[in-house]
Amino acid sequence: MVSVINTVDTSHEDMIHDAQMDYYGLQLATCSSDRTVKIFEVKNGTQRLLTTLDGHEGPVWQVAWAHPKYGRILASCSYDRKVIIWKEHDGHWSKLYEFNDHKSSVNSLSWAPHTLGLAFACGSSDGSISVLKHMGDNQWDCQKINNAHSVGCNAVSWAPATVPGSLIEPPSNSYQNNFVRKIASAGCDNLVKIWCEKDGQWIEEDKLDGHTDWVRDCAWAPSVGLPDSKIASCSQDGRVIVWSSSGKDGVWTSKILEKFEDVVWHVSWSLTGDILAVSGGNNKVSLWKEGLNGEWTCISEIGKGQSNSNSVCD
Amino acid sequence: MEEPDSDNANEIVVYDPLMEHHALHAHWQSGHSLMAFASTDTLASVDQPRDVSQHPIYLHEIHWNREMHSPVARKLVNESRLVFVGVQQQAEISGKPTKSQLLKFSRNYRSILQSCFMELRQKFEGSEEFDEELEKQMQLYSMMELIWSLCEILFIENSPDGTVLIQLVEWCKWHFPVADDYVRLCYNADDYGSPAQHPNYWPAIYTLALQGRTSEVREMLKLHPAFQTQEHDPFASIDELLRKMPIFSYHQSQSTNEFEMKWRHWHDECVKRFYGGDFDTMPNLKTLSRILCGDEGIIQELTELYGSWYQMLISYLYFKNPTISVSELHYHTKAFIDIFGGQSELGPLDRILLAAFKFDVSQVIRECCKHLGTWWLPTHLADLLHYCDLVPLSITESGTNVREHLIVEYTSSLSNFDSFWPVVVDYLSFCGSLSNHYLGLFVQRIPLSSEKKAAKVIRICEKRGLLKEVESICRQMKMKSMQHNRLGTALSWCIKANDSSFAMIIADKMLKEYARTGLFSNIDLIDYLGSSVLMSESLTFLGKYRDFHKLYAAEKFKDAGQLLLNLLMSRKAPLDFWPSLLMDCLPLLERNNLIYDVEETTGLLACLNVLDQKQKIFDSMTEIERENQEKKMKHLRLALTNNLAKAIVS
Repeated sequence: MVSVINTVDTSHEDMIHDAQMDYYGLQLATCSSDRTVKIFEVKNGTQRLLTTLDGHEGPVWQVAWAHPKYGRILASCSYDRKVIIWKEHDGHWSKLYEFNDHKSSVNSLSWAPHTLGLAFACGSSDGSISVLKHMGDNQWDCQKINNAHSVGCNAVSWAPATVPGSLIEPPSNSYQNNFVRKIASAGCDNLVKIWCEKDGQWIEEDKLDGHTDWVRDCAWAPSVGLPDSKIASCSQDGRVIVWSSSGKDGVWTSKILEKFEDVVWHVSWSLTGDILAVSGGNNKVSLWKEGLNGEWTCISEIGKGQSNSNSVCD
Repeated sequence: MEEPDSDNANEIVVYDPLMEHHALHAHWQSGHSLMAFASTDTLASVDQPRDVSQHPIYLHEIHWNREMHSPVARKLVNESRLVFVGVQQQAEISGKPTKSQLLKFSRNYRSILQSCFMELRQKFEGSEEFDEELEKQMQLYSMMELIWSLCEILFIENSPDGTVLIQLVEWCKWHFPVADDYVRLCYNADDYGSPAQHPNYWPAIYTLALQGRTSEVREMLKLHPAFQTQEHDPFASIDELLRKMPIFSYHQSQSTNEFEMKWRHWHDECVKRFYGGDFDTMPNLKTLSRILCGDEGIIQELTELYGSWYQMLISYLYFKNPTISVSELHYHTKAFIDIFGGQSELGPLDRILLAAFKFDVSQVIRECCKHLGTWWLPTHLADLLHYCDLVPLSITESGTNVREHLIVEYTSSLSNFDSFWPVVVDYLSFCGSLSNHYLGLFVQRIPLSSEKKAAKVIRICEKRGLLKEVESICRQMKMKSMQHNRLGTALSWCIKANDSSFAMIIADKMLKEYARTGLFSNIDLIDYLGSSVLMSESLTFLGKYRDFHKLYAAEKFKDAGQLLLNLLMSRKAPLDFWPSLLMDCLPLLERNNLIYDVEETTGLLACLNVLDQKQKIFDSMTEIERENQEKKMKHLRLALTNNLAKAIVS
């Protein structure tokens, strides 16, 4: 059922930290401790290196593609306290904008849903979160949430831009105004926080307390149009928690998916939000799925083998 | 099929020398794929000594449910899509398909499975080397056909009085050709003189009998040298029993009671002859008669010849209780499973079939999801059974019902294969109340590799009312065309997306190009703008200017002249376009008949004067261009003055 179909030599000179396919699965961006971002073309299961982007002065933690309707835009964040927005034009990539208003490593970055315009949020080890919005003409408006997490923010994730209850009521003309602007963030204060933009200000809407150590990652599940939301979080304490809210009363309930023996680094949702990939915990990547009875079960695992030979495939 | 239920069936191991010391990380890609790589704690790695430089840094692309990508699977996907859409359309027309319609659809699905299997078998037999992959696929397809046909008999086809055995016996005969194999062996072996001498002669007879093929049993028996038709001969006796065995069929005008009476009589006769010692001289015939009596013990004795618990169950019931109804089947399953070692010995296929015999539709679907490794069967089966009212709606916590849940699963297993996108759209369109949300998510992921494809996607979105997605696609296509400097195409996308501000930018660009080169690259597009020209002033101007060209070409000089004058006087034209417009007056002025009267000519002169004062627009020109421009203006001024004189005189 599960198979490695392809192994790519990324030609990075140091550890990779992130690999993201663009919206269409045609280009792949990777970033590494070697301070570079690389972009590959993916075609018929083979990858071809298109370009290497230099510009960061420290390990690059994350890359993220903006929605293609804004053109081919990639953002990267790094230990060097910078976020760089890259843009392709006629096959050439160049730096579009550099954001360096953080006092420490920028650990995570997340584009807003495309319906909210070209905007992104980033979280830093200095404890703050910045939300930047493109105002046209490469002018970016920055709003900062100071002291979002004491000791540092490890991850940010935008909520999908659905209108609560949009399924039940037909969309009206004021549709555009009904979009929710929310961000979930994970921090070294062992908390997951929900931020919400109200009247142009970002305010703390909720605090999800369930981990006993640093929360390494959080991910808001893609919406399928129902008013309820789901967030997955994982922590140094080995726990993976799925938080859900029915949207009506705004109360979040938690369910511990699993308590692993080791640190869990990442959680990531599939496109339709039905499978959660969990990296770490038991030195494996495990895939979890909510059964029809509401229970989470592990459906697949990806383990690592240490072969002595040089074979890297299968 | 191998044992997929073991612990490591769903586990895959990635080999990478780097992973020895580093954790494995993975991120989702589109569809059913992940990118995995060795990485380390983000913060620690900065200060750690770099021990990785001697190893290449690898990314591993991991996929699952790859089965759907083989050529045969593609056939399965594309052909079953038509049936699926047929079912849904039928449901839309008549509320719910009738039982006979559903049966027809079910058979369509089954024939697709069958033809896929045949294709695989041809390939398998045609290939010179043993192909394990092909063999596995063949097993999968034949297993799916087996499961499907049983479900069809039990869930869809079942007759009003609930009797199913005739169909089940047929099912055994069709899927387990054990008896035919024995018979063939007997006939093909010359070493033994006659088939009756063959060691498989009696196994052939027993298995034929177990499959209820009485006339074939009789044919076989006739080959036996001892076969005689005298009255008290054991052969004659068993032949008579076989000949007289009543067969129940709903379609023959025969009531169940009537049949049962006849059958009971026949059964009693079998038992009587058995105990009466009719067959005592011939142990083989005795065995055969025990089968006819429905003797449980003999079934156990013959298991080695004949296979699995479900085949035995069906044979047993056929001779013991031929009018049993679907709902009673499960009372008998346990006994036969116990003969074969009990519940714990059941493989995945057994469990799926057992659930079907127990009439537990949800369990069938669950087991299929768990063990088949493809969403094809559970999805399509659940869809059909949903229309039979057999699939519970069971709204789950996640808010989806079983049928929709499976459709989403199935489509996501197809979605990382670009050419399947129309299939995915079809399935998601029939996914209940959430259709549009799923479609919305999906259409954004369709690579818009050509204008034609984009137009197709847009048509689908428009049909489904996905207006936001339409706008987003138009914007992407517009950006793409702009990047390739295809202004006309970009403009048409703008108009589709109703993006007036951008349309203005493009219109200005087109005008500038004309002013510079004297050529419109996509002027024909303007003819089709219709009311869209009102979207922006520049477009309106562009449209009007195009009209001028057309009037001029049609030799309606008076009208053309007026239009041109209006454009200039109303100040609708951008200033840097004025030189071109004024130059367009020149041929009009040089005509014999007067086109502009005094007032109009004065107006045009005033425009020329304005232009003279705004030297700025000539700044960007080269020396030669500017000289040419000045020459032209001079010429124009002369022509205008002449025209003024002519106008005054007339």
